[in-house]
Amino acid sequence: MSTIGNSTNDRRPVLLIAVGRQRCGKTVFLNTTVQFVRAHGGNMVMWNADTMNRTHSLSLFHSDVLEPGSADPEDVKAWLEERFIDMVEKQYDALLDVGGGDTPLARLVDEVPIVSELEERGVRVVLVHLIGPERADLDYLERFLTESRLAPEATILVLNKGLVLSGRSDGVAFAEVRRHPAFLEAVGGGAVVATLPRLPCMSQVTDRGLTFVEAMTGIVKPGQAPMSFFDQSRVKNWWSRELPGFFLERIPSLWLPDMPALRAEVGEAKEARSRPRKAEAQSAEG
Amino acid sequence: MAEKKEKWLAVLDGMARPGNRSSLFWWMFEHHDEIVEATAGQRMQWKRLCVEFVAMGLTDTSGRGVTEANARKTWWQARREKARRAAARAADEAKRDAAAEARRNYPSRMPRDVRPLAGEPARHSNGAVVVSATARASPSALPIAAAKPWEDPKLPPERARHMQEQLERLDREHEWNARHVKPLSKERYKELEQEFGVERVQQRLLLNRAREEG
Repeated sequence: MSTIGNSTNDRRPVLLIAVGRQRCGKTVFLNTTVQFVRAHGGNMVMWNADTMNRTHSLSLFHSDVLEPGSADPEDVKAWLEERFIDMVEKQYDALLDVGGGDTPLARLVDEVPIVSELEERGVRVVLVHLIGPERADLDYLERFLTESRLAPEATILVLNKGLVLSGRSDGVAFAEVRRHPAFLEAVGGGAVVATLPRLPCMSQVTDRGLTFVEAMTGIVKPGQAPMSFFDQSRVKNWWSRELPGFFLERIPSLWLPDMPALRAEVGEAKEARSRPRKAEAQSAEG
Repeated sequence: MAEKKEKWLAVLDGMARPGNRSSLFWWMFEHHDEIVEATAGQRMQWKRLCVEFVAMGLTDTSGRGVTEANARKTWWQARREKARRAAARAADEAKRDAAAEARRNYPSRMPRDVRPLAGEPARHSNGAVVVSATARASPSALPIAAAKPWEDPKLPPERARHMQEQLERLDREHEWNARHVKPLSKERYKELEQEFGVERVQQRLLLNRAREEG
């Protein structure tokens, strides 16, 4: 695990912001993150400033998403300011869906250095770039790196495997990303690279507005067709076998909210692994 | 003169639309995008459509009226041909891009101070190993591990270590995936085609293959 951005042991409230061009999986990533964090004993307040996305917005999956009262960019900007002030005062973890393109957040960042302002007030800003295998995804990253002032030390480059169409070689699909100057510049600047595992039936889950736990336990909403048991099994496999590796091994723990249940699970697993070794050592001594 | 031109145009038209395809096929081929948009992934009502086709004077290859089975098969062929042409275009573009990339990397275009170290292969400023121009025509022909941008002397040691750690882990992950690769299921193809459209999926597959094969 990288030591960059993880050098101190102080846990601070996290503000997770996902950026990237449209249809690169920002909402899917944030939706996955909040569900994973909540399922493991943590919590995050959700702010949805993506006023353009109505079909797959966070509000479709969660009833406690906060949204601005108006879609006017100036109103959204003012609303974001209020949210940031509230977060500093009350010190909680939050995630922000800003959508793609020219966002109110970008306008706010142009006016105020929000990263340093928030960091000085004890909030850790974590910026997540969602990247697919297409060249345009890198153009977005390049423009962002050169033009945006939103550049916290805690930066994650998430390679979204859900966008790899061929499904057979991630290495080839992301080869161009791997050698792109913008990508290398970001990694050289301290960004962490993580590949988001692909859920083959993601659209089956999101189109139904189900949470992943609902999907794998076979919950059916009124008027909807049930998911096939194969798809339920796919969700279960992705959720319990692939996602923990993504969140635990790829992302520094201080860049995510505290997840006590996950900590306990990991502790138990470690304990279980070391038990036979301890027993072996004792019998050798005996 | 005008008569000669018309004759030529007829020959060209015959070459563009060989007679081994039916008038129904060419109609579906030319209106492919509109049909896809209009149906929006729903099942085609072939029985009703066949009546329309007959009314429009569209026939099968032998000039007879169109049957349901025939229409269904012809639609499949029109989609396949559309995807094949799009993929061929995409592969051509990929080849042209790769050739342009190779031209950009000719030694004559490299900075003057680039010198190979004794016993070490020459490298570009981004760390990629300099190989023959032919091999460079295909960026993916370079082994991923050959690119070691963390060896850039301008990077502070801590950043270089971080970059090496991140990229090597990514490479290991990709290598593992390549070894444990599973062929794409028919079901997954169907899902992708529904989500992105047949053409885009085929285009992406062939583009990936072209990149892999250089």
